[in-house]
This record gives sequence, C-alpha cells and structure tokens, in this order.
Amino acid sequence: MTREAKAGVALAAPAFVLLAGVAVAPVLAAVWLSLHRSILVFHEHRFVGLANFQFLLSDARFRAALGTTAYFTAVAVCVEILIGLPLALLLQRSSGVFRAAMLLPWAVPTAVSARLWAWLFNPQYGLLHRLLPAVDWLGSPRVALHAAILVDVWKTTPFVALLLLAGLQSIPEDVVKAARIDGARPARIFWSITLPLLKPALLLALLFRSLDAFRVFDAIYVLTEGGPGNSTETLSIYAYKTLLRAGDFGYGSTLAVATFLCVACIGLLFGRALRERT
Amino acid sequence: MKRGLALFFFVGPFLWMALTSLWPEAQLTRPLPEALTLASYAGLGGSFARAVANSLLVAALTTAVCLAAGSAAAFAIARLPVPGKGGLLAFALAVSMFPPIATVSPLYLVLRTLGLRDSLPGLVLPYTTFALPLTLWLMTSFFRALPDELYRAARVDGCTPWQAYLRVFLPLSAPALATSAILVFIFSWNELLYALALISTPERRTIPVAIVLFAGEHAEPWGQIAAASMVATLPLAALVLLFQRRIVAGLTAGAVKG
Amino acid sequence: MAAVTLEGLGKSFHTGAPALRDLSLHIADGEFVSLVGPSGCGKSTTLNLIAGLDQPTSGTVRIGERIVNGLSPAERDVAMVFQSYALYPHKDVRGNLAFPLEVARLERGEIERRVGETAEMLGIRELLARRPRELSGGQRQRVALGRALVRRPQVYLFDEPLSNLDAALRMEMRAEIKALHQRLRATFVYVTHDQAEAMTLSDRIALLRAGELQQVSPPREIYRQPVNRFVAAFFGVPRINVLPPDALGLSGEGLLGVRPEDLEISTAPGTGSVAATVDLVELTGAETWVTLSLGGERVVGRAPADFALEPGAAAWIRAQRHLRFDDEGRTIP
Repeated sequence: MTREAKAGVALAAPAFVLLAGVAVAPVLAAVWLSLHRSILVFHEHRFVGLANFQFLLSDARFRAALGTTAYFTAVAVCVEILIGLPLALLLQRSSGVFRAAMLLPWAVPTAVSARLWAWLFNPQYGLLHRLLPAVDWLGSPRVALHAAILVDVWKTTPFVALLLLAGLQSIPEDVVKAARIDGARPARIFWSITLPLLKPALLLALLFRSLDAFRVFDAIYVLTEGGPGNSTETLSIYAYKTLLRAGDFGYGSTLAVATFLCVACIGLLFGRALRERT
Repeated sequence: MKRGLALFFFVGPFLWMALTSLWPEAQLTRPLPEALTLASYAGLGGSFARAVANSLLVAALTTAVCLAAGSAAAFAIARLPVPGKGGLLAFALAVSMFPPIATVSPLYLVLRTLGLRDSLPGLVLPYTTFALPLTLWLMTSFFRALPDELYRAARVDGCTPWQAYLRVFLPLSAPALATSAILVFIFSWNELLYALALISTPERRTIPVAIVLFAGEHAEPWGQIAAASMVATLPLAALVLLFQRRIVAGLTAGAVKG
Repeated sequence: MAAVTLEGLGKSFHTGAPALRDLSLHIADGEFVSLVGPSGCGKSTTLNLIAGLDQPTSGTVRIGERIVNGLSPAERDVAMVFQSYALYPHKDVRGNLAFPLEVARLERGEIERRVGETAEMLGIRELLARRPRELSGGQRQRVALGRALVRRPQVYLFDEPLSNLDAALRMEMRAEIKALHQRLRATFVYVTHDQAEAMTLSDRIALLRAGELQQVSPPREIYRQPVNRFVAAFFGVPRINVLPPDALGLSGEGLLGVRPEDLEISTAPGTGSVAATVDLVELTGAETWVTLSLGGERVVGRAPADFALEPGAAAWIRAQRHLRFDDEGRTIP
C-alpha cells in the first residue's frame, strides 16, 4: 500500500469503526436478540429460534401498528410535499429573515413541538379546543392520528420546502427565460418546465421524509403515548414499549428488526427510483 | 398575503407558547391573561437548569467527536486513495437512515455492561449514528470542491498526507466545520428516543426528556412546560437567525449534488 | 541543482491503456525541457512521477545521482508551479511563501530572510500581507512562482502555469519565466499544451503521444526535422500540409509534408509549379494565409507581400522545401 493509501485508511478508520460499532453491530445484535426469549427483570435469556417472528405474524397489535405507521407516513409525506412545494416557491422570492422564520419549526426539538401542540389541543383550555369545541383532538381514536400528522406536517414541511428550494435553484435561469421568450405563461412554465426539472428534488424529499416518518416516535409518544387505546401506536412506539416498559428484549428486538426491514425496503425502493431518474 | 398565512401557521404556535409561558398559572382557564408574569420561568428551578447543562454537554461532546472523526475521514475519502471509498459514503448514508429503535436494545445492553448506560457520555455513542454521516457528507463535498492541485501543492511543498490534512485542509475547512457543528449540535440538542431509553436518573435528563417527563402534582403545569420549551427553543432560534444561510446550505448540500 | 534522468518509465492506472510507456529521457543540470503533447498524452503523468505525487509502475526516476522511486515529494527536493496556482486560500502571501520552509522546519530568521528575498526578486513585496483572493491572476501567478523559488529546490516543475492567464499577460509571464531560468540556471521541467510556449522557452522539447515519447530535440530541430508526421503536424500554425507527391508534380513514394511558409504562391505559372484555385484568404495581421484547392487536395500557403487574388482566382504553387513520410508516417531522411 502506498503512503497515501496508508494515511487514508488511518484517517478514515475512526469514523467508520465508530459507525460500524454503534450502528451495524447493534442491528446485527438486534437480529440475534430477536431469536431469543429475553426478559431483563426475570433474568431470562434463552434461544427460541424464529418463535418471536412466528408470533409477530399472528400479532394483531403489530399489524395495527404497521397500518398506523404506513397511514401516518403516506398522509404526512403527501401533505408535506403538497404544502412544501408552494412554500419553496415562496421562499425563492423571500428574504433571509422570512427563511429563518420558516426554519424555526424544523429547528426546535420534536418534544417541544409536540408539547406545544398538545397545549393547543388541550381538551379544557387549549386554543384549538376553544376555537373548535366540537373536536376532541387527542381523545378520539380517529382524530388523534390526524392531530399527530398535523404536528409532523408543521414540524417538517419547512425541511421539505428547503430541499425543493435547492432543486428550484439548480434549475438554470436561462431555461426559464427561454420559455418566457417562447411565450409560455407562468402556470405553463411551472407545469412544463419547473415541475419536470424538479423531479429529482421531489423524489429526494419523498425518500428522506418517508424514511423519517416511518420511524416516527417523538411526536406521537409525547402527544398520546400511542393512545387512545393504541389507536396512534406506531411500530417504533410499540417496540419501545415492549423493550423498555415491559422489558421484553426478545420480542421488542423482533419488532425493532421488523421496523428496520420496512425502512430498508422503502430506502431501496425509492433509492432505485431516484437512481433511474437522475 | 401568502407570507402572512405561512407565518401564521409556522410561527403563530410559537407566539402562543411564548404567551403561555408568561401567563399566570392561575389564569390559564381564561381565554386571555389579565397580566403577564415571569413566575413560570422562576418556577423551573434547578432541575431544569441541570437539564440545560446536560444537553449542552452531550451536544458539545457529540459535535467534538463527529467533527474530529468526520473531517479526517472526509479528507481521506475526498483526497486520498482509500480502498472502496465510494462505498463508504453510501454506507454512511445508509447508517443515517437506520431507525433508532432498531439499535436501541443492543446498545442498551452493551452500555449497561460498560457501565455507561445511565450516563451522558454514553449518549454520545448512539448520537454519532446520525451526526457522523451528516458531518461526513458535508465535509466530503466541501473537500471535493477544492481544487485537486491544492493537495498536490501541499505534497510538493513537503507535507506528508497527515500534514496536508492538519496544516492545509483542516484550517481551510473552517466554514464547513462550522456548518457541520451547527447541524450536529441541533440534532443532538433535540434527540429524544435514546435519551429517554438510556437515561433513568432524573439529574441526568436532557432537555427533551425533561420536557416530556414534566409533571406537576395534580394537573400538568402548562405555564412551566411552555417556559421550559421557550428556554429549549431560544438557543436554536438564535442559531437559525444567525446562521440561516449556512444551515440551509448544509441541509441541502447533498440534495443539490444528488 | 541536479539533472533528472528517467529510465524506462511506465505508468498504468487501473483502467484503460497505460498512461506512460517506457519513457527514457535525460534532462541535464540547468536545462529547460518542455513536455508537450495533446491532452492525455502522459505529460502531466510524467511530471507527477518526477514530483513523487505518483509512483511509476515500472522504470526509475533519478534526480542527480539519487534514485528517488518510492520517495515522497518532501524527500525529493522539487518545487512545482500549478495551472490553478494552488495558493493556500487561508494564508496570506507571506504565509504561502513561508509554508514550504516551515514544513521543512527552517528557523524563523532564515524563513523571513528568504521570503523577503524572493518577494523582492518577483516584485511582490507590497503584496505580502494580502490573501490570494485579493490578488489578480498575474499576481497569483507570481506568488505561485515565488512559493517554488523560495525553496531553492534541485528541480523546478511547471504544470501548464500560464494556461489560466489572458493572452497579453501570458506573453509577459513567458518572458519572465525565461529570464528567471537564465538567471537561476536551474533545471526546469515545463508541461504545456501550447506549442508556441514550448518553442520560445525551451532548450529542448519532448513531444509525447498516447504515453509514448515521439521526439526530444531543440525547438528549431523539432520543427525542421520532425521524426514523423505526428511531430510535424503538432508544431506550426497553420498546420503542415500533407499530400501525395503527384499533387505537387513531384515523384516518389509516401506523402509529402510542406509547411505553409514553404509553399510559394504566384499569379503566373513557373518552373515546377502546379495550378490551383484560391478558396479562402485570411488576414491575421503580419501574415496572410491562403487556402487553395488542387485536384482533391486543400493546401494552405503564406501569401507574398503583393498578394491580391480573390477567392475563385487561379494561382500557381510550388513547394520550396518538403519533408517526405513513409507509409507508417515516419520521416524519410
């Protein structure tokens, strides 16, 4: 190996050893744990093969959590892109102060944003409750999940808008100028020029946000802890409760591995679409 | 008009939170307060100050570790013939997409064995899973944008690869380091799941955990929760206002380059 | 100062054809040698191998008596001037000049003395406190030159140092580099794709093509006595005319090469001249170049001072001297 390559390996090693140690090894360990019955408080730990996965397939609560997570992801990401696109167009023509203001929801801890909205939703004194007394925001199973989606939309639409803004800014001005000289009106320019050229950025936003929304934990945990009656329980929350509330590291890891596989599938699917487009 | 609507939706809730934090606790049942008070802030007390200090410590440590390891690796990937370096970046990206729940159970057991479970330095390790890939991507694209001849010039001027990194490229990368530091700091400051899962001693809680587990004697102390949220938000608001350009550039660096 | 000797030098990268094949070249102490050729010919690779930025796949690099294969750039005592200047943007001019001396751990006083001397010599003393981004292209070039000079290395390497300058500044810096070489009498290895630059600066020119050395000769010789058709075509603007002998009314095998300035154009037939038609007349200032067609061939010639023909007119041409290439393109002596 040349001196150059030796130095390169030495410089790169700490970062990648760290990543392998804190991410890859734990995922593999989680797979191993998922093959065990392992309950901390009972000091029980024995190999059970695929029994946990067998249980997983018949576990109605898992199916419900998977459905909830998928619904949450699909609706939240669609709404975020639908709002994020006009917001990006707005940001393109706006000053730095406005951009900074829009960035604020992205920057605050999700715990804070969830608490903030929980206060707005508060069934006694919350502002939204006062404005719309008929809606039981967090108490009704059907509404609660949508309330959580609203919080997620509020928190992450600015990020989507930023990604799309970067895409907008990479469209050469001359192309838009040419279209104007060719006589296209603004709406026509948007549909025929801007939107097609924005496709890579849209796909990227879709990928990032889907992966992120699918592992949602903070917002829902703070808002409802998965309630009422497990109606807002996502995979991450179900796994978290099983692991750390029930102390069941075996089945909890099984749920965690299932979540990981779902996220990996989304990543591979979108990743492939992205590579084909660009 | 459009801007007004956007501000109303995205910034309005903050203003309501700010108002709530100044709202006398006894008057929260009314539609609007009659007077404003700092009592909720005063009532936060030492335990929340503790949480702020804890969050600062964890965020600072995570930032330091990620910048040190990340910039060195980024330099190697951008400028040196590291075997398989194309795959390394993709690997880092993939790791950053891992759901935290997937690693929390083994990390819990490992950190417990090491005696680091209920400790702030123990939090830094899981935090690197998302912070380090971010630093790596940002720094690599920065180093790649520098002309190739700069590295050759440093070598001909007598630098070893290490010296070229430490004496030429590291000082040069100050702006990218700052951007990475801001983003990593924000992410670490905000993280909830690992902190909730790994920290059990109340004195070691970080801000998000403290805010989530805020409990009063009877009802939830909304005035204090709002005050705590304001305290957690203000440093971030300051960062965002001061470094808006940098943050936007950092967040979208990967997106523009594909 | 030292000679540079390359023996059987070869370099292959992972993909594609070898970048350099069996290159042997001796550059004498104090000599100015230019490496020229089309892009991808291996000239920059050669420079990197001399500098130690890259290691050869085969062959040896010698600087003075020392074989330097495997040594890092730091151990070779060479300096290099780059096309993009490659100044350190975070250091001021003083810092840029001092950097190689600091890396070599010279003492403070000596560094300052040398930086001062070099700045004086290049007339950049008043720029010492400025950052590279505050300098013009010409000033940056001077600083880059200074960073090489301050080392007083055994060998100076130049990688297309003037390519980023505009035409006027390029002429000026060209003269300056020439003067510098005459003053230092150091070994200069200079890579360029600009044949005029190589012609005016060099003691000898080495022409490479697809990793293979074609010819190494003094400028006049490489122009007048090229070893093959490729070398003949590389030097000279407009390009050398290549056409079958019978087109010019001459006999023999192979192809003829006639430089435009050797093509005599007249308005009346003379001994040994052939008829042609004027296609195009180009005035470039000092010279007028005329493109003519004869049979199926096109040729370019330099017009006489009193030239007054319009396109379409008939003219007579005669080659005052010519080269002859065999079927493989080699020059037949």
